[in-house]
Amino acid sequence: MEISPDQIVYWEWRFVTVNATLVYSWVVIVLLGAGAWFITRNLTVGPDISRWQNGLEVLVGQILTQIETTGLRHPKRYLPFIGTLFIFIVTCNILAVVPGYVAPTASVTTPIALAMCVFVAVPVYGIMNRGLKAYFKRYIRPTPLMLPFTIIGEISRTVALGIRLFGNMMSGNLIVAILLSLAPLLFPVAMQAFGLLIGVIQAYVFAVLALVYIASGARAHQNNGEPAPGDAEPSSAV
Amino acid sequence: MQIDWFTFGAQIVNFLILIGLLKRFLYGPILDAMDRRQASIRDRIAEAESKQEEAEQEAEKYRSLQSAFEAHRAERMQAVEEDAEARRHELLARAREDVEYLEAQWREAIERDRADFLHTVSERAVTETIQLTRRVLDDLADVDLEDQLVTVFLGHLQNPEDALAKKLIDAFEDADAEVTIRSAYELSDDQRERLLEVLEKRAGHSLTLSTVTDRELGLGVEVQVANRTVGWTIDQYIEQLLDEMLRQLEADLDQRLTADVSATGSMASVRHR
Repeated sequence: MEISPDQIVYWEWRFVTVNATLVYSWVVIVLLGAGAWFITRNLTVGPDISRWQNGLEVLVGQILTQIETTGLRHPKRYLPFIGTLFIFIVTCNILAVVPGYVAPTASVTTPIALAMCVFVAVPVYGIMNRGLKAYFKRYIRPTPLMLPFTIIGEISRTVALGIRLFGNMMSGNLIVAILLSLAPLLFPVAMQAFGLLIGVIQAYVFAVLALVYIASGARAHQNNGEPAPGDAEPSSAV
Repeated sequence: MQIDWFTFGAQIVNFLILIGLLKRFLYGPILDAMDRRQASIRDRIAEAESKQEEAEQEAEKYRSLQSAFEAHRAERMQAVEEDAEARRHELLARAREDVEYLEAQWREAIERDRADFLHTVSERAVTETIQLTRRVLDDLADVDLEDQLVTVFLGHLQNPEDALAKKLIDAFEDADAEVTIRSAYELSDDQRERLLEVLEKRAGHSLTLSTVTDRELGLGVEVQVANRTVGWTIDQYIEQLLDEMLRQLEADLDQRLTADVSATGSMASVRHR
């Protein structure tokens, strides 16, 4: 029994390996890109809009609202990053109900890679908003002694972000696999349903945490180096 | 738990590609459509608000117009009623005047007819009376009366101021010596001599006298000189009397008609008031 989709290798040449993680990620990317293109090629402005357009408008509108609630001034600037994180993870997780499909997020590589993107995006957005000097000043406030702790905190929370998603998704797959061997009927179906719920929640948690990190980086200097209210991880995180 | 670093890098690239794809095909168009819809809704709401405000102003305007119209209508109704009442009075008065005029005309016609009738009756009465008188005198006439009559005639002629004498003198001025005397009864010689004497005296020369007896002449004597006749008969008096009485009757009639018409006119004016 494979624990990680990384271990399902379809093609290999030297260090280049095409495994299930990559293949299913591509599938998801193609699915999302084609779907977005298909739906948005005939957008209307009038009162009569298609259901797909309406659904997408609700989704995008909700993501914008979510970004606004963290207090960021220009929600549309963060929409592509945060929105894509959420949509990608949700799609990866939900497709797990398709037989034969393995969620890329069940491999530790994908969540870590996404967490690395967040890790880079936080200073990028912070510098975009506040400028280079002002952003890096937050690392030595209130005193330069705090610098190592701040760095360690940034790295550890990034790792935690990735591991959290990976753990949840992998456990879901694992539980289904174990239960299939114990009780092949009905019970695994319920666990699959739970898996769907957990997948959506984890996608939301990942996106919101990324948003909070970015917001804390962007707003840190407005509070003279004091930790922003959203700087700490929400207690609701699973 | 092992990280495949190639997969790690590839997933980062994949994710960045996905961001690009979704930004191009999802966020851009959707946000654009949402913004445009919001703008159009905002425009429509603003337009609707302005139209509503406009409609309210219009409604207010029409309400005030209507109230003004109601007030004006009441005034107009009162004025029209007063006009109609005045007009009714005027028409009634005119109708009454017409009726009174016709009535006056009718009365006038009646009065005229009555007067004509009275006139006719009076005329007949007078005429009958005169004829009766003449018949009586004719019946009474005889030689003695004739003699008396000649005496009266001579009396007229002997008086130079008398109208008969003057007419006779005029008649003699361009006449010859022949004179004819007409009478109802034959004259006696004495009467003839007395007449001839007086006539010659008026003519101033001698005359040849001839006499004619005419019963139609009635009571009286006529002297015919050339083409002119000078005479004295009872018929002349009777005709004078008839003329006088008829003239009096006409005057009475005119006076009565004038009095009737003025009485009717004054009655009409009293009713009109």
